[in-house]
Amino acid sequence: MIAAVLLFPVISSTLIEPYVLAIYGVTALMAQANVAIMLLMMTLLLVLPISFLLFRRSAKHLPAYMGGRPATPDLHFAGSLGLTREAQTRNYYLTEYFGEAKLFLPGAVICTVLILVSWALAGVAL
Amino acid sequence: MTWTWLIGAVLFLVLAPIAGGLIAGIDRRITARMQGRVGPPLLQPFYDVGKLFEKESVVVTTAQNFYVLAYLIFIALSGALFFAGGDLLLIIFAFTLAHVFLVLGAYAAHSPYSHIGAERELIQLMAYEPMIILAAVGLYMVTNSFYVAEIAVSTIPAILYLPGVFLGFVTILTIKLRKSPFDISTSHHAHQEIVKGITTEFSGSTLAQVEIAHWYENIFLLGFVYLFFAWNPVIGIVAVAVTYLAEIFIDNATARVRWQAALKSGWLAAVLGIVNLAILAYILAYMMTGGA
Repeated sequence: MIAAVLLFPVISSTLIEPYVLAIYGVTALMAQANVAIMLLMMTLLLVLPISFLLFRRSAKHLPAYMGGRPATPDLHFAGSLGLTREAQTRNYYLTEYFGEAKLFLPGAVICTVLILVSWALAGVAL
Repeated sequence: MTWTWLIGAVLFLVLAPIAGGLIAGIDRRITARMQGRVGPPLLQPFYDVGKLFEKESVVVTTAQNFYVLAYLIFIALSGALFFAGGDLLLIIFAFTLAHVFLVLGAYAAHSPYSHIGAERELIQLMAYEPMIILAAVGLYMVTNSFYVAEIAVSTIPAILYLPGVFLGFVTILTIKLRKSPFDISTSHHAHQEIVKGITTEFSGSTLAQVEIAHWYENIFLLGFVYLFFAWNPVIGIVAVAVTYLAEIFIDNATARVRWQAALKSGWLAAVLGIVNLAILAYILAYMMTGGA
């Protein structure tokens, strides 16, 4: 997996480009400089975790900030009168934007149209 | 073989924090004047960051420092690629990657406040990302190049072809500069929130790194604004200054909106950009067929 990531320029030039060239007659190559920069960025990503060693010694560990009042270790807010309240976080599902109810009708219409168009084009080709 | 690109990158890495800090200082002065205050000394941002570096290193988890360092390095890298005249698409990729590190850093802290900040930062990312890519596409359609070096020396007045794209870009610039009304993940102003959003758990030298990354980021973004006016350097620099002043004014004249409104504004900006590009594509095709 990691080898596949690191060797992507080689894979691209030996396996993918001849195929694309054979099918379409043209290929769009990434600029050599950009490939070099991306490899550089990847190397940086692999090197950066070494910085962990730098931090491990010096940093002082404290519990997370819980609104200025001392919290329990398992992230409960310390409330008044000795109460503790659990801190809850939930994901944002953005159903208003990507919800099934929003996406179903346009999705169905577009898919139907695409299928009909492909049939029509296939009919023309025959 | 020209080595001028290296000069651009090195100059950015060295000078951008200085210029960014100065701009932050000027920003704070102007903001203060708009609010009827005298404001801090011009060099106050440098004093602040200098003081942060002297503070004790305090963390919730060790990993958060690593993520913030990665954020700083990738922001600096994307800016350096930009000023080296590199490929805009690659620059935007590195820029986005940098913010993913900041978000991971905030998540790593396991704190409710920084979690909310991180979620809001992701929403911001979703809001501005389409528009920033459309801006690159628009500049490509006008200048036929994704390379900053070629766009910057183009003699075509890109702004005249891309007014909608520019307006959209200025809208998301408000998000990126962390200015009101879109400073939803963290703000420069104390009145906007009690807890500091995504930077809640960052302190000392780590917070200083976030601030320096923000200076780098601002210079990069102002450079992006310049590209729209690159055919005339004088107009370009004036336009960058006017754009930033307008952002300061908007910052002081508006209150923070809900994240839903920020997301919709970002996408509305993108729609504006797409409409602009569609009209531009039509005009370019018309010119190509010799209709004009």
